[in-house]
Amino acid sequence: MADTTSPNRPHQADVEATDTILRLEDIRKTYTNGVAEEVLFGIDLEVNTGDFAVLIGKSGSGKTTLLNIIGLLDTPTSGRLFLDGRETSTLDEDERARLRREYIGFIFQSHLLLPDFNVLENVLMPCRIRGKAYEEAAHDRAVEMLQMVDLGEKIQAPVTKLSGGQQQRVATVRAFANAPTVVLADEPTGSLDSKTSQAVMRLMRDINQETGTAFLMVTHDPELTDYADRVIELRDGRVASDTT
Amino acid sequence: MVDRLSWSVAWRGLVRSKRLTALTLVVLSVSVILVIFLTALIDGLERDLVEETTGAIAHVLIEPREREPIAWWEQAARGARDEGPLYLGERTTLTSKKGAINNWQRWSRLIDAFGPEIRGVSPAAEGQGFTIRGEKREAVRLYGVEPRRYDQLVPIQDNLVEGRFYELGPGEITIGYRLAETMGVGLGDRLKVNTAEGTGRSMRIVGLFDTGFGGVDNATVLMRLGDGQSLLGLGSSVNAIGIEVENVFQANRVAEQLQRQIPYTVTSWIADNERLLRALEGQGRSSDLIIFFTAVAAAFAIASILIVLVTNKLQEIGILKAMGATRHQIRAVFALQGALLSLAGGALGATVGVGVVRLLSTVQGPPTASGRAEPLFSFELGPELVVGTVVGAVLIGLVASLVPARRASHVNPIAVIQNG
Repeated sequence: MADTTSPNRPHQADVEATDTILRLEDIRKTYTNGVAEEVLFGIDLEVNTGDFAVLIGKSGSGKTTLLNIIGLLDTPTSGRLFLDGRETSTLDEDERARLRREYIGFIFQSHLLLPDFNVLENVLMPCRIRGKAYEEAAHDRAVEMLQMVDLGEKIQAPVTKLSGGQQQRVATVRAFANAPTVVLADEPTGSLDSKTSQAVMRLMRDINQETGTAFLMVTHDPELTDYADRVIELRDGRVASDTT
Repeated sequence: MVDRLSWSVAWRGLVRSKRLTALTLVVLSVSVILVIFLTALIDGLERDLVEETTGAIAHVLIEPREREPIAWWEQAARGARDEGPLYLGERTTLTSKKGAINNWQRWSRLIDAFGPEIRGVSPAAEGQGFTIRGEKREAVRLYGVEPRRYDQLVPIQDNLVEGRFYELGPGEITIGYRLAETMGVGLGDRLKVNTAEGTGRSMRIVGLFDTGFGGVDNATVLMRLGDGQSLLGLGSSVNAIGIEVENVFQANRVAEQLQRQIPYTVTSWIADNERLLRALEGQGRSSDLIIFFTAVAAAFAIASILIVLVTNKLQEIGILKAMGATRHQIRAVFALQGALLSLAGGALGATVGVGVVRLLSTVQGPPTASGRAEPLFSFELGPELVVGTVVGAVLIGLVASLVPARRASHVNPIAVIQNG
């Protein structure tokens, strides 16, 4: 499948605020490592443009599994997942990879930067994966975002020379470099101190409000729900509550 | 297609993994040096053996057919026996017709017309004989030749120790320096040259040569074709036409083609040297085996090192895949690393290999009695060997990268991210 979208695609703020970006219908997941273990029991969920949603729940409730399925890193055992109106469960690995790079930004608990590349290259890596034109088109905005998070002086620095907080800010900016439709974050502040956590959350919230990019964030930290305008609670593989 | 992502990840990976990269380059370079050195040495040895065998002989030789007994009624006409019937039990001495090639110019033109695969054609009046000076008497081979034509078969002019060959005049001979030493003669001396039949003539030595071929330098007397014909009683005929072909291993084919058009016996050097050819073929097979096992060893080395590189880069591969890199892009990273490593290793190995071969080529062995010095090592090093080895190294690198590239492309990003 060719990547046909323009590198200068209009940003999400231009899209109608109530558009459904993600729709999950009866998503189930069973792991079969010798013994079958059902993790998700029929999840129905919609995520809209501009949502800043937090996914909470106890350990083992299925949060990370659900995030991996939504991020097209994993496939459901049954059910259907629509991304921007497109059904994804029948796609092969490479087609899912192309949708990921076009629609989804990831922020992981551990920053997961590429040590062989400098700060700016790490931020632009999702664009480089799409192609040279995307990388060039995103360059100025990437520099601008790095300046927003006080890393303007470090854009050529090796990421291995940054502090943990700085690395997580680079990872956060990287998630937006390709102007994704939705950003998925798995405990993005889990390894940060309180002050840096708040800075990263503010950054994500600012970008959400500025661009309309939808956020779906897994967290254990109840304080972070204060930043969200929607809280989804998972309990034993089911949506226990979904409040705005 | 290889994109910017694959290039940058492949290149940075190699630069960052300096030790592994250096180790791979050393393994590849040594393999390429081995292949170039051994192939050049074995090819040089083969060339020398072939040259040693064919350098002083015609690759294809045209001779009169086997001598046929003269019929008894012809013997009488020639005065070999008395007129009258031949009775059962009667003893008679059979003589034979003297074989000759008449109108050799016609056959020479026909052979020349064969095209570029014929390098030279030389008619000769040749036979056994003796050189005599005082009490000394040496068995020699007498050749009446056209010097410039004969020089295409056996390199005399360039190997003259002193005197001349091309401008041989009537009654003049050029002989091997060893024969001159044996006979105790030098340039300007006269030497009696006798045929096996006893015909003889005194001739003046005007040239001494050192071809490096013992048989030639010890026992060859070269004279003008006319002198040879006269001495051997051939009239205007010759009794041999020697042919030098471009590719010595095609001599059989050329001989077979000529045989269909020429009414004389045509033989190639190969027919008389089958054992040598079998030895050369065996040597060639040994050489191929050495190259094959060297290539296999190099391929395993590259594959092993690339697998280590993949293992070291599992997390980064997972990150790239999570961000949307396709399996093709990931495979391209490691295929590129394999190609870059083998190209660099191949180029380095080729440079060093060619340097070593050239350096050793300059080492001279002990000089011969005439002061002629030969290289101690004999190499056959052509651009096709160097280019072929480097291309082969790159192909091996690509093939060796297939397994690690495939392994990398199947990395599950979830496992990597969760362990991150």
